[in-house]
Amino acid sequence: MGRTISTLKLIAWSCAPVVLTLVVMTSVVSWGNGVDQIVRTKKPVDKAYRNRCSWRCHDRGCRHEMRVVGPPIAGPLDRKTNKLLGLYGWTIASLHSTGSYRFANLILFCLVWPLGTGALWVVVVRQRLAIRALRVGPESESASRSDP
Amino acid sequence: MTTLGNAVYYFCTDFMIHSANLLGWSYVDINSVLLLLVFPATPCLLGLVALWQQRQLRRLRDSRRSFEPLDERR
Repeated sequence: MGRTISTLKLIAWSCAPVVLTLVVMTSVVSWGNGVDQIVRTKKPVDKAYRNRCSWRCHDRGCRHEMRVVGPPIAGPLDRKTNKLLGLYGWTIASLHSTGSYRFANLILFCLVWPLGTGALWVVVVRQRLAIRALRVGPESESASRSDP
Repeated sequence: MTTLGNAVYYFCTDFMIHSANLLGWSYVDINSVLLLLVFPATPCLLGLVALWQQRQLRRLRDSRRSFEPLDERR
């Protein structure tokens, strides 16, 4: 019984990030596209907007960069000074250099990274449960022993 | 398979674009944060936690083992 419960706990904790990520992603996409456009089968042709990003930013490069440097909303990276942007450009160029940018993206960020991180997460959850069992075990045993 | 791959790619790109708009950031901002901070940091953090837990587990098992003979005597 105890083993079944710990297996169920392991499964629940292991699946939690996947479910949470999917819920968050679906909510955001349905907020932006509408419920009927959550799953697209064709690439959307979008126009450029002054105040917000669209598929045009993905296809032809984002022109909203200046918004970060100045008000009203400052983004996380200052484009003029932050070296991370150079690294970002290098990462995108590396993905393009594979021949299929889309395929490389899918393999790396939808397969390799989630599987690797998921495996690590399962290890962490398993070890957490084992630590808990070890901590609770001797105490409960000694408590039952001390009972008259 | 290609259709599924495309659908996943469009879904993820839609998520990036809309989350950028939700946060008030640009597409490049959200991409940079995810690619350069979140993606590398998450496995590193989890790896560190796993290592720390391993040490804790070893310590707990060792301390438990040291109590075993006493238990048997009782």
